[in-house]
Amino acid sequence: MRIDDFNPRGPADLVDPDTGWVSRRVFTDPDLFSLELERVFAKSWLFVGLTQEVAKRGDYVTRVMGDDPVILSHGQDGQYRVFLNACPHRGALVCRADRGNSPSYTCPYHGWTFQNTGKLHTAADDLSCYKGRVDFTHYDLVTARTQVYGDLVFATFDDQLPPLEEYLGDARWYLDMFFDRTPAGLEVLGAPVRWRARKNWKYGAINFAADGPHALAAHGPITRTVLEKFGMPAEMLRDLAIAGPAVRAGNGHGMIVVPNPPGMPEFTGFPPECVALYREHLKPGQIEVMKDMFNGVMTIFPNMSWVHFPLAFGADEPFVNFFNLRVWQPVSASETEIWSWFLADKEASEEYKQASLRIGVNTFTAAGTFDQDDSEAWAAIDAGSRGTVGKRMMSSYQMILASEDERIPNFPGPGEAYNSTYSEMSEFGILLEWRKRMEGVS
Amino acid sequence: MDAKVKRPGQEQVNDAAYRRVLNFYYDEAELFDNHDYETWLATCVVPEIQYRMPVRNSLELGAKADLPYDNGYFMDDFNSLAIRIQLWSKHATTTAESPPSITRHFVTNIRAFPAEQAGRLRATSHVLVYRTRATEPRPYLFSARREDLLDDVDGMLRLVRRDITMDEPVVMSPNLSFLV
Repeated sequence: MRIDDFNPRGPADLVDPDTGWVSRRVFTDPDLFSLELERVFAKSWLFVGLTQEVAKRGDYVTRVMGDDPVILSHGQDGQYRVFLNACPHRGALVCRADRGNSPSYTCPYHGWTFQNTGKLHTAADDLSCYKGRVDFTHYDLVTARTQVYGDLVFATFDDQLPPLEEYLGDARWYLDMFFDRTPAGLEVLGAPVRWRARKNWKYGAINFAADGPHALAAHGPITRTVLEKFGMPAEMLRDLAIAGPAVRAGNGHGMIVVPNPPGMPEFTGFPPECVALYREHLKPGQIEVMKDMFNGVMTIFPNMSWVHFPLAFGADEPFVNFFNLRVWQPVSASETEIWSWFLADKEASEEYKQASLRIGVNTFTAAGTFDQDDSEAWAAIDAGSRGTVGKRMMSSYQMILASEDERIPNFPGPGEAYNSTYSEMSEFGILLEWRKRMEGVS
Repeated sequence: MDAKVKRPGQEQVNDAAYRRVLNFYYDEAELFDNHDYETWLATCVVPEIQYRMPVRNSLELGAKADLPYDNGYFMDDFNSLAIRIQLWSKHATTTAESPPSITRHFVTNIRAFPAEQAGRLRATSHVLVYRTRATEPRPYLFSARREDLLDDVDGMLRLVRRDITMDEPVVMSPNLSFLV
């Protein structure tokens, strides 16, 4: 099946780079969904977890890559590996818990057992019953290519993809601002929470690449409630969001920064004990962006995203950053399972970490005072885009027409930075990459 | 019969106290289903309220959740509950609850015990919420166990702490914009 089969006039009608029009079938069509699992998810480096989630030998967590269940394992030999969670004999899950510690995995059907290095340990019958006619070197767990960047584990089952460093490319400069800014790095605050949103996975990836104007619309009441207390009226936030850059960091990766309001101290919301560490550990350009960053939001193509900004619910509480990392796992064209972690600098105080986790849980989970709105807005988009007539319509990213010539000269970071988180430039970048992948052009 | 093995759930409070706990839970459920969260906050909790619902994982038999931090869905105090409730009120028209979701809270398996501290009770209950949202006519069921510490002062029961154990590792609804 080729993308052209969906539209005789060619892929440009699904995502038009020149006009910013995008067919709503990109977000609703079950056949396109099947195709993107193969052409996008099976051909991307996908984030599966953090090494600290499997800190000890024998630790494992079960995860998802595209629509495939996988195991992230810390083997008895010290290696991190990602396995397809399927018995090579008949395909059953060999590991059915969310996490645990075990030297081996046992298939629930015939009891075939695999070491946590992936090696076949025992089969149902004595292997001699096969009379030497079966090659059991093909019966180890299927192992993904696995690469660790900082503490982040990425994997792919594709042999042809360039190495992870190349895949991340210029996005590393931005990624490091969040994940590699102190000597000890980040600490993950508990196990991921998971919930099912009624929407296509791309709405999440695009929203976090990121969408400036929805903050005051979808999240209007909570934004006003929380920020006005701190002397940031909605109009000020809007002006700051319009002023902030949207970055196309290459290979579809995209981010925005909403800058601090004038007069707000540098590194507001960051743990004070870590600021000197950032200055030592990061490049001057990264510090220049980070010191006045109010809100930083980024997507690594296709489905890894994070959001980071300072908040406080009590008028007597200081601003504290929360740092929410998530993946948008595709379930169907209109269903996405969100996996969501909170992180904090390891060197931050225990008190800071607890406060950061609390403000994160209060805002960015299924029950979060921000996420509850996104879920409803996305469900509304899905409901409005699925009909016979509705799916013939186009979604608009036409703000790019007003923004393409708004490149910021001398931006400290790599990639292409454009004026305004309202520009749709970095959001549309996700769809341009998607288009390229779906055409089969790598 | 082994006399050394004791069935849990013994030593509950007397009938009169149990009756009051029962009424408290039914009042609460009615306030929730009427979207009268403001009255709930004003009459059913103390200012030191802690309202928590951590993530529930599927673990191997006998394994314990032993992580140093509890990620979760609710980690609230009075202040954050007040913000949630203000957002769900008719004044805010928050996207998630405008139109409001339709809920019915079913509260069962209620047991009440004396607490260590005088003037307090411990109570456990099961709650099932039947809920439909504006964008989704298909109902969503939410099941959980609640472990409560209740203040019992001047004949008024109020929540001091509510620990909610949810019964699914993956929330199958797009959001949880309601209380249990």
